[in-house]
Amino acid sequence: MTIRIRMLLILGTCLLVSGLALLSVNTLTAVAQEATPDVTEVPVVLEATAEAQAEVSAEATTEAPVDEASDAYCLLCHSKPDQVWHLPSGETLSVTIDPAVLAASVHGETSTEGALGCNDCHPGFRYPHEPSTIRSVRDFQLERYAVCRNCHEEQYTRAQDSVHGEYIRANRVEAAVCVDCHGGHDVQSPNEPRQRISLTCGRCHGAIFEEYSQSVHGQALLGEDNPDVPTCIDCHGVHDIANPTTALFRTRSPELCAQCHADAEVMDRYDINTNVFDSYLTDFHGSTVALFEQETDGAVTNKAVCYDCHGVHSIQPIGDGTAIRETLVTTCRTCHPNASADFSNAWLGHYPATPEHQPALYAAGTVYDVALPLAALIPLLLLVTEVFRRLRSRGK
Amino acid sequence: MTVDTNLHSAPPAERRSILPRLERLVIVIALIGLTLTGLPQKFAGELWSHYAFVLMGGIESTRILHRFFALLLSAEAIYHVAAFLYRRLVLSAKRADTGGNALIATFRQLLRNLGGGTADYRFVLRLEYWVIVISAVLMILTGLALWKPVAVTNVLPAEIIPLFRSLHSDHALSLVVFLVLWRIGIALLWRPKRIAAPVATASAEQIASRRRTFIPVALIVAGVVVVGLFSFLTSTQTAISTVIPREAVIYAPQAMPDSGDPNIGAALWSTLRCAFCHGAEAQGGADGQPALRGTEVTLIDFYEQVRSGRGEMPAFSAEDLPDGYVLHLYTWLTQPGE
Repeated sequence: MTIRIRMLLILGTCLLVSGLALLSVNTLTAVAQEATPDVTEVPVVLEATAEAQAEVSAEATTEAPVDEASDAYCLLCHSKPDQVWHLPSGETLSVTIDPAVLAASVHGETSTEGALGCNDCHPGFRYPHEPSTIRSVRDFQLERYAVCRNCHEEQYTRAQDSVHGEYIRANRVEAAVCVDCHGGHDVQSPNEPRQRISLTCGRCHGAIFEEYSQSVHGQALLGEDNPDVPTCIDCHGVHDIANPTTALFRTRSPELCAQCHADAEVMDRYDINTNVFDSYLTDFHGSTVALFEQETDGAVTNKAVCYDCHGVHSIQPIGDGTAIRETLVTTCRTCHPNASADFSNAWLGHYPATPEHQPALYAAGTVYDVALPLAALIPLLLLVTEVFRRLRSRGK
Repeated sequence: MTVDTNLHSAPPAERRSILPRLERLVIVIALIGLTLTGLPQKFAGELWSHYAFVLMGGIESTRILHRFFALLLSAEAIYHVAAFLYRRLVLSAKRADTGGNALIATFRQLLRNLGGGTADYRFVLRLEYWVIVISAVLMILTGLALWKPVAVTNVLPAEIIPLFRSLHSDHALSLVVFLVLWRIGIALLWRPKRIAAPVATASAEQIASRRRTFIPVALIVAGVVVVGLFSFLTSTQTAISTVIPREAVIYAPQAMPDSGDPNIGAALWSTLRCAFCHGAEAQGGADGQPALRGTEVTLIDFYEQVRSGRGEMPAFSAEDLPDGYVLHLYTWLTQPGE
């Protein structure tokens, strides 16, 4: 074999090996991409026109140099209208920032802690942006919200312990994270005005919000800016929102209502009886529920709690009680299906018996107000006088 | 057949039957059981009640125990009535002088004690007997009604339930206070002599003849009472045993509702950025931004403008302002008479 043929064979073998190696690497990469599509990095493509890009580049090069870590640098692009990020999911995300909106937010010029800059929440972002693994708008929100923890550790931690945090960990991505309630850039004081609270919850809990908005509480909050009626968070909490479908929430719910309805100072303004909680607790249902709460956290009871009779979110005013009386037996039959037509008359309506209202019950109570002391007094008198008799007879 | 089937009889030892002692034992067990399971229910909010419930395995098991002791007392009451009728109707038993009315005797003794007279405390056992008899009737009747309120109110007016509850609860406490103090008096000071048991006056033939009628009738009546009680306790369902079914759509992003609510719209306006430009009451902005109260644009045009923006006005995405909220805003802005 001549040297030339040998060299050709060696060259051919090298080419073959190289070709096979290249092919296998490509195949492996493709397999890897198929297996883990979520971590594929894709270039960040904004809907900036070539003209705008050129303009930005020109500004960045011809004018006085802008610090890459400054807000002004970010706003060279992000203040331009119609800046949109095309995501692999097919969604688009507007990345145009209105500096005025940011400045008017709680993180803006009026912030007592000092205004936040872009890099406080988006640290390490430079232009051109690194390829991103974000595939959808929700991906982006879920990836970004953890940055709130840097300043709001307590609220963040409590939110993680909430039913929302629990759902997020279970990959129920629709559950609320910081930005869903507070916004990203246009962050306003979350409880000012107070209506904002329930309007915020209503964005995701639309059906419940509709019910609440028609309730006595909702109408007073939304229509009258009433400071006393509960918003969502007064019953459900703010960040550490508990799951309201648990047995524990059910057994503790009367205490939630009592926070306001047992408070004479608040109730006097509306001429509402504050005896409701105490009268409930002395009743069969209330005492059972209270005892279940004491037993164990998970003990389930089906005895009626406030919302079983008054409604959960659709609570209506009681007025003189006529309206609720008419439908009360229907409510009773929810749990007592064999209840007679007048079964609801067994319920005193949170009011103590009076001679006019429930005279027999009032009379019975009065009789035992006398009978109980007598039951003690008669034996005691007989005991004391017997001692007296003995002492006297001994003296003789 | 012995004749001393009486709670407070004390026949000579050789004639003493086991039955009265057994009755007394059952009554003592039932009353102590009812007290221990009943008092924590009456004073459910107290700390000591909490510990009592823990000891008895919770409120539900406490109620079951209370009902068990109530049934025990009811069974004893049925037997006691039968035994009483047996003595009266079959034996024609007569009791020796018992010292007259027990209540009057109580006051007489009080006066004697104060006046330095003699002591005759036989009445304390009779008074106690009648207190227990009257209380048992009251407590069993009211207790059964509270056990099965739905069945009772199918026949009687529902108002009796709170009345019976009050009677049951108040009477129980009065009874416990009375019995505890009364027993202390009996044990420490009064030490009454037992009253002689009733003595049969009927002849052996009469007794044998009457028994042939009495025993079957008594068994039938007792059977009817027991079956009646059983069917009363089991025939009507008082309440469902599950937690009240309740459905709610928890996660429901705001969608377009059937109609808008001006109250919600007004509240929204105060929370949105719209007011920055269009004024706090949508009356128009300082820089010529249009007034929106009373606007005549159609809902579709309004919606389009909110979503797309126009001129200086930014677009609001569904993320910023859900569809439902757009309708509420529009309803408030176009509300007549404002």
